[in-house]
Amino acid sequence: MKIGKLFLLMITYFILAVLLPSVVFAQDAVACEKEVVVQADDWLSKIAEKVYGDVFAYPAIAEATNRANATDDTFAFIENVDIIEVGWKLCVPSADDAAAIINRPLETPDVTVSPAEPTGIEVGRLVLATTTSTYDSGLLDVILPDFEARYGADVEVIAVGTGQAIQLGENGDADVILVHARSREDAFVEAGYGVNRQDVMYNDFVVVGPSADPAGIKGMTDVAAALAKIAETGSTFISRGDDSGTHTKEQSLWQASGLPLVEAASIKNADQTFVKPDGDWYLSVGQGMGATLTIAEEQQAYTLSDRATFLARTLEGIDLEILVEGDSRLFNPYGVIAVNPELHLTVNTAGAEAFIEWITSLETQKLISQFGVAEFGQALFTPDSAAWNAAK
Amino acid sequence: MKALLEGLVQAIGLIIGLDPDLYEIIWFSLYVSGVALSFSILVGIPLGAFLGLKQFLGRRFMMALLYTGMGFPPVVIGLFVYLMFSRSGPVGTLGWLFTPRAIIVAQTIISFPLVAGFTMAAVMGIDPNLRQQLVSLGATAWQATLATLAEARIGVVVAIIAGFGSIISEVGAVILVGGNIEGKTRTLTTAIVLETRKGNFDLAMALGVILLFITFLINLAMIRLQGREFIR
Amino acid sequence: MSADKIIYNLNNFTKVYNDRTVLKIDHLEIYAGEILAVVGPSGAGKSTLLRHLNFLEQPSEGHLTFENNNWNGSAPPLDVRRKVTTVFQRPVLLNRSVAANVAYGLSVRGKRGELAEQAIARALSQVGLEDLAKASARTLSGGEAQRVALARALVVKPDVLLMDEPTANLDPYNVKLIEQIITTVNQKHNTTVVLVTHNVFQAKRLAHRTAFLLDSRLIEVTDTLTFFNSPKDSRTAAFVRGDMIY
Repeated sequence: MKIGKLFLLMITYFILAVLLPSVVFAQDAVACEKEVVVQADDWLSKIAEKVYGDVFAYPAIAEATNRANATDDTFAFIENVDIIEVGWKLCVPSADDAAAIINRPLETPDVTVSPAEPTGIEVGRLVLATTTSTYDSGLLDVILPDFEARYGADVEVIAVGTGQAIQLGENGDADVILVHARSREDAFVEAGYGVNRQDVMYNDFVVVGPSADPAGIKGMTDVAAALAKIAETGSTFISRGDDSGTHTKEQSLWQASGLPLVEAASIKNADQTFVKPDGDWYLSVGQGMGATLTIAEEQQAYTLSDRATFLARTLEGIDLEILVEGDSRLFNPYGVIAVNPELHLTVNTAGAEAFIEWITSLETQKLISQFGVAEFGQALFTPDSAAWNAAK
Repeated sequence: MKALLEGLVQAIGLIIGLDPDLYEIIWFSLYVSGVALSFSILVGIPLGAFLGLKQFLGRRFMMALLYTGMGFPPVVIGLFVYLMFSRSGPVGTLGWLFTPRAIIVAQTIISFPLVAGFTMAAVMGIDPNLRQQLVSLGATAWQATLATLAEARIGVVVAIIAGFGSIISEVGAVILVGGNIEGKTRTLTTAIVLETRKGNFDLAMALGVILLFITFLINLAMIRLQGREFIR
Repeated sequence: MSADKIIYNLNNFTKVYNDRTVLKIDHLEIYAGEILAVVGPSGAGKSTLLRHLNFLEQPSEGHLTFENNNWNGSAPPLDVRRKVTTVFQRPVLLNRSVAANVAYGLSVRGKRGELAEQAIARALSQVGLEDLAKASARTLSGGEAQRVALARALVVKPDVLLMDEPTANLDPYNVKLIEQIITTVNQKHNTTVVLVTHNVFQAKRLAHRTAFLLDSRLIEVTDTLTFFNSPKDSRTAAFVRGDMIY
């Protein structure tokens, strides 16, 4: 009889030992602020840094993912934090939740934004060339007054396509440019048109489309595959077609999709060919993000948009929804560059340098990180300046 | 200056090189503007003649309306047409938005007051005694009107030129209702805006030169319509 | 000229513009094939009368009968209207060649081609303008323009030719030329001519009968000889003498 009791006890113990943890953990499942799909060359700490700015916060992601996996096995189960596989879906909790999980505050730079007092520097008139999507997001309307107050500046924002913004920099018609097309930015500096290129922030793109979703891509985490499905079903897709940062990103995604692409150029401009899938369903409209979204809404078609512009549109009501997001290929980094004063003597160099210093400063980066949270419950841009990353 | 000269050179190169994209855009621009102008002429010239010749109650009111239409901002007309043909608009079910038809509608509305207004002014400048004399020679009212229009042909051709000019160079309405869709609704003017946005200033300039050149040729042809006798 | 056939018959004819009576004729007959001169001071209503005879206006009251028809007081049909044409004091020509101007009346009647060309050429030679056929009508002198107006009226072979002071602004040569044409046309084709003129000598030279209009009323109408030598009405006499009655 003693052996029987012992055996029963052991079984009960093992049962409890196995079951109890999952019960305990399931209770504490954490909300996923973002769902990220692992891409090639991703590792947990890299994602943690991208999202929280804290390289060592990766256990929070692992933990949250595993907890999510208990109830939803589309999420991965991470046994070894050093090994994650391409295609795994991770649950990325909010910064507060992550801090709670790892039981310490995140190592994000602790910055309080001081009130905008004049610094005594008088910048005067400063011409900033930027892209329409940056402008349409409303970020500049929120943060520029801070710069103008501190530096006695009158910033004139010229919002045009990426290509034209860069051209304005080349011509010296702008003092400083803020764009999101890394290869073009590097070419700009290499050719001697710009100096002091700095990282500023990044945001992400989303694929939006009609709620009817004829191509059936909603919830897909592989954006290249989603695009392939759009092509497959011949669903209408609106492309900006204007050589903007968004358009450049869109082309890289089509290239990743594996579909056969044709080379096109509006009016045989050999310097600037672009690629596109072949088909009548692909409409290239050559306009800014706002207009492109309007056309997509009218046609109930798919398009690629930066999150900020799209969210701003939802405030006034738009009959489209976000269908694909989170793929790390959809991240979109911004750079700021001062126009080379040696090429154009009339450039406001002091103003440009002040602007760059200001926009990469911890306080402004903090402002950037707060933008959109009140309205949309999420930050639209993630600060990414060297100073910010160093302070973590 | 550099951009101007480069634009000129590129323009010549593009024309000679028979670039198919370019010719498609040229053809499309001329097509939509040509159709719109035809509608304007068909309705505008008779209406202008009528307003110029006939006294009736409310004539001054109509004239004021026409003059207002002549100076009306084309982009507002574009917005109006857009709202009409939008999915949420009254005739949205036609599905004309972002097709050549919407562009033709907008351009007709834009050019019509100019064609009618200038025709009316031209006809009003004709000796009023003429009509009576033509009728006494046996002309019907319609025949007399036609002869009066022929007398006013210099002004009537100006009306057509003004109407054409107002739409071939317009961009705001065209881009709103047409969508600037490559291969479908892209005109010379919307292409110029696009290339400018992309930073291709010299290509944009080239397109501008081409647009200028085409308009010039067409106006030259129209002057022939005014007749050889217009130089006294 | 036949006194038998009446081509126009006006009865209790009144025309009112804006409460002003501009013409009031109790009775007037115009005979087919005659030349009737209408004289009187300016503003008497002579041009108004001609406009009515050409059916360009309708009387406010009364009847105007043409060829025994009055179409219930409204304008007669097109083919009837086209039997009458007017040569005005100041011709308005079209900005075309002289020949094209002469052709106009024929072209609205649908007459083109070889026969029309010949008729135009004849009309031009009749007025002595065959050399100017291709000239622009804008380059003509006053006399030449009036002759073109006459040619374009004659070429349509009207039954009735109305003329409103046709030679008032012309030099004696052109006056004589046009008067000769009027006489010829009336004699050869029996065309009825109603001629408004200030020139009493012209009336004497050309007209079979003369009518006197004064202040919108028809004072007297009688054969020309009697009209000038022994008019019935004293006002007519005064007018003929050149005395001011107006």
